[in-house]
Amino acid sequence: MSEEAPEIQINVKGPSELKLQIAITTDKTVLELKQAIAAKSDVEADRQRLIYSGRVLKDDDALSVYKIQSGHTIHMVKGVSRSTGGASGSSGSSTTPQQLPTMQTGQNVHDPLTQLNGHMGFGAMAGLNPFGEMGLNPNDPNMMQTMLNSPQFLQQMSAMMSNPAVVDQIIASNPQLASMGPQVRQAFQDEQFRNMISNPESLQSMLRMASMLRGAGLGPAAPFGAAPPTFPAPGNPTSPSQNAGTTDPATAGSQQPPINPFNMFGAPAPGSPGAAGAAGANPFGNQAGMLEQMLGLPGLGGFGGFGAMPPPPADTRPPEERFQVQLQAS
Amino acid sequence: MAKVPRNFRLLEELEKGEKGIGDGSCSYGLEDGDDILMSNWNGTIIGPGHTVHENRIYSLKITCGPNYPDERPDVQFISRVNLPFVNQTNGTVDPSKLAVLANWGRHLSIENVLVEIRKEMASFNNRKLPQPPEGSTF
Repeated sequence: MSEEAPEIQINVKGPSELKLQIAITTDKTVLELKQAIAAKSDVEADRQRLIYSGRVLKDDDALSVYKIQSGHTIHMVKGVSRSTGGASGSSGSSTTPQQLPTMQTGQNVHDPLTQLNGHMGFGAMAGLNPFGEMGLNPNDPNMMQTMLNSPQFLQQMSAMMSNPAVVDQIIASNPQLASMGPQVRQAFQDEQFRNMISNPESLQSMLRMASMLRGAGLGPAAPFGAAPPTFPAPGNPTSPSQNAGTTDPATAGSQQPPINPFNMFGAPAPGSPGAAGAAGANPFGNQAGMLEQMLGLPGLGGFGGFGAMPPPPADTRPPEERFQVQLQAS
Repeated sequence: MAKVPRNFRLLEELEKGEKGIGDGSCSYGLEDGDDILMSNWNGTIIGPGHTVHENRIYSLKITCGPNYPDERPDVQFISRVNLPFVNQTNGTVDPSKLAVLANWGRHLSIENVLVEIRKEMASFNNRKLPQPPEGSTF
């Protein structure tokens, strides 16, 4: 075998006077050669384009295909990385608020959701207590309102929702969403929908609505009463929570059990009565019906993960007290 | 002065091509290393910078007939390219529209052809010509 794959010395000439000598056997593939070049230069393998004798070398071919001999020269040209053509790379990363610091989440740093857990994410995924920094008490029932009025927060939400990578991640990481099949993706890709969820104003009114209904005692963590019992509702202590925030003492103290960030989008099964009922009360019409299923307005319960208001446990209080939040707000 | 026979001349060119010329902006080699007639050649041109061709790699086919280098080679683009001297249906280079081929002499080589074509890409008239998507072929 070694007889058929002699080691050869290849000269590699690259951009800006780069000259390398690589010793490699001819049974190696072009890709392996590229990796060898990458190890000796600062050009990643997938950005290299190799040219020898008037031909562009193909990654999968063995070097012997090109009959390269010792002392011959291969030219290397820097191209655009092919991987940037992918869905998550191009459009996603450009809109991602990349400047966000990433914190402790224990998730892959490349995971776009991780950024949302950064403190600049305003704990959009709940759990953390960034609000302390904002001078907000998570137990303050008005915090939700305050947040709704915070342009920063809305901007953050809007940035998050307009990032396709995040949306994809959300779909992929939630089996319920994923099992809803193509409509989810379709709807997420629907421009109207995207506009809606990425528009601060509509987000705001959605969140308002949620908080209103919640305050109105329409059910604790799930403002639209949408979650079927089997659904791991946010705030359900038995739900397997992946939330990074579980470790955050502030959350633990807030009586609101940790919220699984993905449950924010945890939709009830399509067509579940709860969701349908919710649609009735809903100024956004059709689109939003879909939206609710997807954002699941338990989801807004998920937003409840903002740790804002511990849900009214039992409505034994007089209405004045029960609607105190609304009365204050208006 | 004695005339270098075709095959010696092409062997010389082959060797030069394999060693690599210049910065690699033009490269060429035998299509099939076992072709003892050395008729069919591949060439690549890396699009010159600051033009629409920047960072593109154009592949060409060069055919040296039995009377090369007394007769000019046939040149044909494999990669789609929009240039005034390139036939837009099959990629062949019109020798009458490219000086190096129109004024062919035996002192010229495959390398000269590629280098001249590359210069044409960077010329004032051609550098901004709209180009077909990268990677498409004739």
